[in-house]
Amino acid sequence: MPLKKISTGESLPSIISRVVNDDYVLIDKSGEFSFDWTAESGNEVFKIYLKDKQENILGLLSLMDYPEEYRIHLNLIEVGKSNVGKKKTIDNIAGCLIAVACKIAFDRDYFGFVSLKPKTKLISLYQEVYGFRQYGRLLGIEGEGSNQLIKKYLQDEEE
Amino acid sequence: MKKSEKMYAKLSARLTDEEIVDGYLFNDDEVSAEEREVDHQEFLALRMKRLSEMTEGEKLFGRLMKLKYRMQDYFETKEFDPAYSFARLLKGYSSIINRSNKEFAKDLGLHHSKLSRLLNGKEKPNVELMYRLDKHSNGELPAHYWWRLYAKEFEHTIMNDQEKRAEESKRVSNALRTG
Repeated sequence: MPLKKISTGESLPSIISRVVNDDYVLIDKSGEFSFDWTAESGNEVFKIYLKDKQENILGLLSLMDYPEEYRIHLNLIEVGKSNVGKKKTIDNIAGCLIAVACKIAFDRDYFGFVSLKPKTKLISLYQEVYGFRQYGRLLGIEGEGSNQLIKKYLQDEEE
Repeated sequence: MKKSEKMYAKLSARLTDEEIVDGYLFNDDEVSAEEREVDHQEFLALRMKRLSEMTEGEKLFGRLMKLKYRMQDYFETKEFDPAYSFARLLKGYSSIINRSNKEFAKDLGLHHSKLSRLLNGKEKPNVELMYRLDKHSNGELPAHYWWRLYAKEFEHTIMNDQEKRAEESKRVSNALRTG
């Protein structure tokens, strides 16, 4: 399911697009994000926002492309403070961002392979929530697993 | 203390691990450069092994998903793009399934010369073909996707074919006078 308003369960139309230079000022000023996103500007950085609310960035994704290893690496994902923890009002933000990475990994002929290297303590949770599998110290998802994430987070049920 | 550990400590002061996973994903940088290289080499060996063991069916699935998601993204755009004409995408599909045009025509119950005309944009597709492509792709590229592709192209043709418009106008008499 795409972004969901927790109080009503309704789907919220959203847009995911590349972060442009002006966005970094907005990200910094918003007070919503704790990581230094300007440090990610050398990577492929994406933002997610509600349709018609472009100025209100809900979450950010930083990707690295490893063509020789046929994979997209999730370098950093951060959901804005307002939607993390018990007080959040919108659900599925991180899921949508991960699903976009899966889609890119299909588009670049990596068979949907997406990797990440989380803290050891959190590995089992990423596996449980998103279906990642272990590849040594890294986690990865591909093929049907990636496709399921795309279906779950990026597509309306009637599609 | 490394960056990831510092951030984790800061986050876990107010969030559970489940909430952290729901809102964040950051790289573990607690290991040394040497350990990182060992981790990478271990990963690389596993990744390459996996790639070498992929079945033709798994590779085909990956290529099919690429085509499917490109189609979906195209449906979100307003303009007709010749790179997404019915014929071009049919060609794209025929190349990813790795079968000769003769085999592909046989699969679809078509004469190979008809398939050739469709692939070259010399013949218009019909709804029957779209259902057959749906079945052939195991439902991954549904009939209505092929229809949407063609509808977008056809709309563009109708709007821009001035010659046909002029020709057909000549056959019309007593047109309504409005306004």
